[in-house]
Formats: sequence, C-alpha cells, structure tokens
Amino acid sequence: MRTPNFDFVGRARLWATISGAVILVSLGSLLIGGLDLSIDFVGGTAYRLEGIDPDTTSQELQQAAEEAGAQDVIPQLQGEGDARGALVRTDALEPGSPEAVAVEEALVEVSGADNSTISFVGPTWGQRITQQALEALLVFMVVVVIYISFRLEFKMAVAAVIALVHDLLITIGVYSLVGFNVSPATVIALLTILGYSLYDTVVVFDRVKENGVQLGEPGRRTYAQLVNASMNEVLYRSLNTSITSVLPVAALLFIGAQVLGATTLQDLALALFIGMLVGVYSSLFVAAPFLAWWKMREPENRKAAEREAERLERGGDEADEVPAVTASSERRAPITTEYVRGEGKRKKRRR
Amino acid sequence: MNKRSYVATLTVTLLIVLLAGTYLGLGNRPNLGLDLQGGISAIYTAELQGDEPEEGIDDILDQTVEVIRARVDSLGVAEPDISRAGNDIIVQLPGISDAERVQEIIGTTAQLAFRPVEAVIPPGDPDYEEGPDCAAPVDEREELAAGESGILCGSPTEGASPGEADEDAAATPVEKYRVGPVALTGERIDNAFPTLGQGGFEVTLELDNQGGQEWAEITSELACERDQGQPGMLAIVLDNVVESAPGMNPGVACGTGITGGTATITTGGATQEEQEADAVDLALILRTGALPISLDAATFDVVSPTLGTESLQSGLLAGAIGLVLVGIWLLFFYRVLGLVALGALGIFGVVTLSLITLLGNFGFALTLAGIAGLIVSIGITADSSIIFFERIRDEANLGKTVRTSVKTAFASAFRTNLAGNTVTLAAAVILYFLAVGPVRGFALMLGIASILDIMIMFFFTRPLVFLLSGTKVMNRKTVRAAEPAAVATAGGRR
Repeated sequence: MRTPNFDFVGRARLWATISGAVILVSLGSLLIGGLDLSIDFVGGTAYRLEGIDPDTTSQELQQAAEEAGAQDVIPQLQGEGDARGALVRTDALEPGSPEAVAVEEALVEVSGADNSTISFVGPTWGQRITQQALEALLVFMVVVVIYISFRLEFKMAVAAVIALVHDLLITIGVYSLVGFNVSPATVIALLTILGYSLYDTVVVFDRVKENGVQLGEPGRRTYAQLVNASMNEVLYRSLNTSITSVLPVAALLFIGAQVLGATTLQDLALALFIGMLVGVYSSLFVAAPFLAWWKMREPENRKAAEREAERLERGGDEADEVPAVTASSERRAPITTEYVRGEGKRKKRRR
Repeated sequence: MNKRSYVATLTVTLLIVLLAGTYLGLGNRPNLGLDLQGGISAIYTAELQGDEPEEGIDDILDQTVEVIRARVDSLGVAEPDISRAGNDIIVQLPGISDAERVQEIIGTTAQLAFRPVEAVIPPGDPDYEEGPDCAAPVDEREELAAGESGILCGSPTEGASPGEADEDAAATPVEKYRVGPVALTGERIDNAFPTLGQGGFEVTLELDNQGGQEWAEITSELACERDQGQPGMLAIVLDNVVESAPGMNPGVACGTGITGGTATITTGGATQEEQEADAVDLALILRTGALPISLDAATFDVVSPTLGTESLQSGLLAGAIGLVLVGIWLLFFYRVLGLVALGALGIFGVVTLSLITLLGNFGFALTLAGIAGLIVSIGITADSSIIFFERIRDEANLGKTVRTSVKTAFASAFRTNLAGNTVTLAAAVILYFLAVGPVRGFALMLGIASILDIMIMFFFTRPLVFLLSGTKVMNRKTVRAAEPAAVATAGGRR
C-alpha cells in the first residue's frame, strides 16, 4: 500500500463551487422554509388523562393520538394502580378545535380515562437554553481560534472555524430542506458534530505543520504542494477514522431506527450521520484547500510558486527532476513519503 | 522506558479496568435520564389572587420556570424537563433518589424577610396559645403581611429544611416569636453563599447599597433595644417561619449598627452534616431568587419514560451491531494491531460506563443524547489508535525497524492526539460552565470521553504496542509495510 496521490488543493475551485452551491441552497431553504422545530422548543398541546385503565401502554396512546391527526406525540404514564394517569404532549392544536377534540376523544377511548383536561404546554427547551448554548458556542470558537493559533497557526485556526461553520450550515440546511423535525437531540448532535469536525481538521493541520520544515524541498516546493502531500499522507487515517465513526451511527440510523422501528432515535442518528459525512468532506475539501489558497497569497509563497512554475517551464535541471504538485498546474505526479523523507533530506536545498 | 516498566504500566491499567468491570459486574447501573427510565413528575399550580393582572401572568410563569430551572441545575446535572401547561408548571426529574430534597428546593417560595423580634414566647407560656398553630403544615398557616406585627412560629430544630412541614413538629413544640413589621426583604440580597464560621456553618449575605443602609439602621435600633434589656433580636423569616433569630453581638453599637453591607446567618442543625446541608440549601434558595409567585404542589407522581424501553433496546442493539462492524473493519485493516485498537475500545467502554454509574450517585443521568455522544466517541477513540498505526506504517515504510518506527510514531501520534483532544476538551469545559440543562450533561460526557481517550493511548495502547514490537507478532508484514515503491517514480505518469 503506498501513499495515495490525490489532488485536493489543485481542484480547490471545484470544491469551493460545490460547497458554495450547497450552502446557498441551505441558506435559501432556511430563509424560505425555516426549520420544523419540535414541541420541546415551541410548545404544544398537553392532554392530561386521569383514571385510565392500568393496562394502557404508552404505545397505544401514541398510536391513538397519531391516528387522530396529532404529530410529535410524547406519551407518558403517571402514577400507579388506581391513580394511574397519563400525560400526552403533541404539537400545537388549538384547544376546542375539531382536531384537538378528535385527539382527546381518541385518547380517552383507548385509555378508558375517567377525566381528561387539555391545555397548552410551554417548551421544555426554553429560549434561555438556546441563548446560553449559542453564547457558549461563540466563546468556544474564540477559545479554539486562540488555541489553534498558539499550537499551530492563526490561518489554520481561521480555516478550521470556516470548515466548522460550513458543516453547521449544511447540516441545518439539510434539515430545513427535507423538513426533518428539529428536537433537543438534534441540537446535541450538532454540538457533537462541531467537536468531531474540529478534531478532524486539527489532526490534518497537525501533519501540515509537522511537514512544514520540508517547505522548499523537492516535491514540496510550495505551500500548496506541502498541504496536498500532507493530506495524502493522512488520507488513510482520515478514511479509516471516518469509517469507524460513521459505522455505529449508520447502524443506529438504518438498523435501529428503520428496521427496529425506534423512530425517536432517528433525530439523533440522522443529524450525526449527515454532520459526520459533511465533517469528513470539509476537513479534506474545505479546510485544507482554503488554508493552501490563503497561504499561497502570502508574498513569500507566491514568489516560491512563481519560481516553481518557471523551473517547470525550463524543463527543470536533472537534479530537480522530481514529481511536483502545484496548486495551479495540471501536471500531477505521485510523491512518495520515502522520497521526501529519505533522499529529500540529503538533497535539501533552499532556494 | 524499559520493558519492565511497560509491563508494570499495563498491569496497573488492566487492574483499574478490572476494578471498573467488577463495579459494573456487581449490578451497578447508570442512572438513566427521563427519556430512558422515567422519573418523578411534580405539577405545581400557580396561586392566582383575584386581582392578579391577567396580561402579565405569562411572563411571570415563564420567569418562574427559569427560576426553577436554575434551582434544579444547581443541584447537579440532573437533566430536568420543565415546562408550563396553562397555569401549571410541570417539573420532571429522572430517578427518584433525591425526590424530597428536590421537592423542598423547587417548592419553597423563599419569601425572605427580616423582622425585629418584640418577644420570644417559649412553649408553655400563657401567650403560647395565641397566633398560628405551629403543628400545621406551613402552607396552611395564616400569613403575616409585610406591614403587620404578629406572632410567627420558629423553625423546628431537628435540622429540618426551610419551609418543610415537619412531622415531628407536633411532638416537640417550637418557640413562637412576636415580631414587628418587615424591616428588610430578600430582594436586597445580592449574593448568598455558605461559609464555615466559628460556630459552624453559616450563610453569608451580601446586600446591595440600599439593603446595606437598611441593615445598618435596623441593627443599630436593635442594639439600642438590647442595651435597654429588650431581646434585641432580628428574626430571619422565610415563608412565615422564623428560621433563626440572632441577637446583636456586644460589638454592635447602639446608634451605629452593622455597616458594610454584609451579614451572616448561622444555620441550625444538630450535626455538622445537617448544618452544612441547611446552609447550602438556604444559600441556594436566596441566591437563585425568590419565585415570582406562590406555587401549590398539586400532584407528585412517578412517570414513565418518554422513549420507552423498545427504543433503548433497539438503540443498544444497533450500537452493538455498529461496534461489531467497527471491529471487523479494524481487524481487516490493521490485523494484529486491530486487536490492540479493539482492546482500547473495550477499556473505553468499561471505564466510561463505570464512571457514568459513579456519577449517577451525584445526580447525573444518562440520556439518549449522552448515548449518542458515547457512540461518536467510539470513533474518536478508534482514531487515536488509527493515527498511531498509520504513523508506524509510515515510519516502517521509510525502512526503519519496527521498534524504532513504533517509538518515533508514538511521539508524533500522541502530540496529534493531544492537540485534537484539547479542542474537544475545551468544548466540553466551556459548554459545561456556560450552558444549562441538557447541554451540560452532554458536555460532561464529552469531557470524560476525551480525557479517557488520552489516558488509554498513554497507559494502554503505548505499552502494549511497545511490548508487541519486540515480538514476532509485529514485523514489517504485519504492520502492513508498503509494497516496493517502484511504481512511484517520477516519470511514471508523465
């Protein structure tokens, strides 16, 4: 198995176009359609049943309410023995409206309740939780930028945060587009994705930074080549990590939620699944190419790139006849780890 | 590090894992959240007076929900579910272990006031029959309006918490106090925290500017009364019960009083534990604010999970299937080293579960979201091994011996691992301290996972791989060294 050779950086324009288009669609969908927030965020209708049959199960209640036209049904049994009751929460139905009455009747019928009351129920995930979560997120991003700047490089920090926002926008966009229900579980999943996406980007950048000493060496003359080679070096790691991360989530989504019918798991697994795929994509195709593009705009790196282009124009002298990958050139050839690490060091020369 | 220290490290690690495994094996299980196992549900009804402004009630109720949330949050990571239903407030908490204390803290309305004491009436005194019946529950007693003078019951001395109707109260009659009008209310309190003073635990109060002035005034008056032979005590009244009535110290001068805006309340309680619990509870109630309205606890019930056991079971089954798939993949790709990675995952699972179980004793509840966090951390834990193994492969491809490769690879892989996990840890810490409710539980989960990941890499994966690198099990072939690199020559594709 040899180090793969894939041109991540050279096709940055293509990735940028893809990502840009998807983000535009996401934003458009968010603006037009908005999100389908669950009753945990916006509140809904609560049916309180008293004196129900002790044998009533929450599945029966849920089924009855759904058949009567309610959505997002959360049934809960209360108490024991004779004092058994139930609290069924559904999406907002106007009390007194035919729909609400139908749901109430269906619930009473299936449970044999002696008494039932209907009321609006407020959100359990309040405005303040959302606000504090967002504040925490902002503080987190600032800390991340400081940490990565300190540990790696400022431009890497910015690139990582851009990839993060990219992932967030696309995942939310998919939710808005498909009309999936956004529940607290979705929010938690989004937060998980942010951590995962950043972790992945940091691992890739760590290799770029480590390889930084080889800048200017044959095969890695320009920063773009350096980034590209580093990414190819960690490509197997990236793929394997993605596979081991996505497998359990996919199992949860496809086996747990679809086959076994645990629909409540769907929110969580789906957000994780989409977010992880986008996260893998962004650390390979957004964060790193963006970093390469930005660094190549530095005067120092631009000069190096010009020299490299010039050298290629000349045909290069014999000693310099090395594989090269440049951001702009269509010419691509494999670079191998052993070449750079072994002979490369011996031939080390700074131009 | 030599072979012996690796063996030692590995042994200690495995012993710890064994300990964690035994803890779980003895039948200890995590405290599951509301969605997974249900819990207690309390429905509080707002007490509305006839002249209550209708339009403001929504805001007041929302505010009440926030106050209750703040109180529950400060109990620990309990993952409560708090919502309004009409004029009711539904509070659901997972588990039922600490239901009583939760009930006290949520239900206590904490109308705090300071009133000067005119006389102390001990049980048996001719005047004792006057005033409220102290054996009756607190919320059935007559209330004393702020401007009124009258008689109030003292708090039972059995270390009972504020506002609670103590069953033993009838057996040991409490003192009554004849008090004057309210001199200072709880609104003037900026902060309150428990401290350990000379006489045991006390609650230190910080008052705002106006409160400081009022405090100085009333203590000055009381000091004068003390000098004239009157009680000179200040009653601390919480929900119409005199919690304590400290007298003025000899150091408090008539005409000056206590200035500076801070004050302390010494709490009762027979043992130090009770005193501490009282001080903590009282400070909590004072700090998180009085509820905007009075609440009646209408019902107090056990509720079923919102998800149901089927969901949990199919979730766990799916998770297990996912894990098996991950195992197959790791073995297929890394062979012997795949086993090491699987071992690391196994240790991660056992130790995390036992930690969660342990935290359950402090109110932590594992929710479905927490389980999702765990599933993602499987990926991240596997990643530590993958970074390491890929690095070993890289080094071996350069022609180094397996031993040297492992050494160089670990140093660099561990640095990378540390960098990645630091970011995750930062996320966890920030979310834990800045967020509320469900987000906090998730953050705790994330933090535990990333610290464990670093530790497993250092104390398990490293010694094991280093030891293996000295055996036949690990040679160039088994670490999947590269095929001859002849293909990758320069002109190859041009």
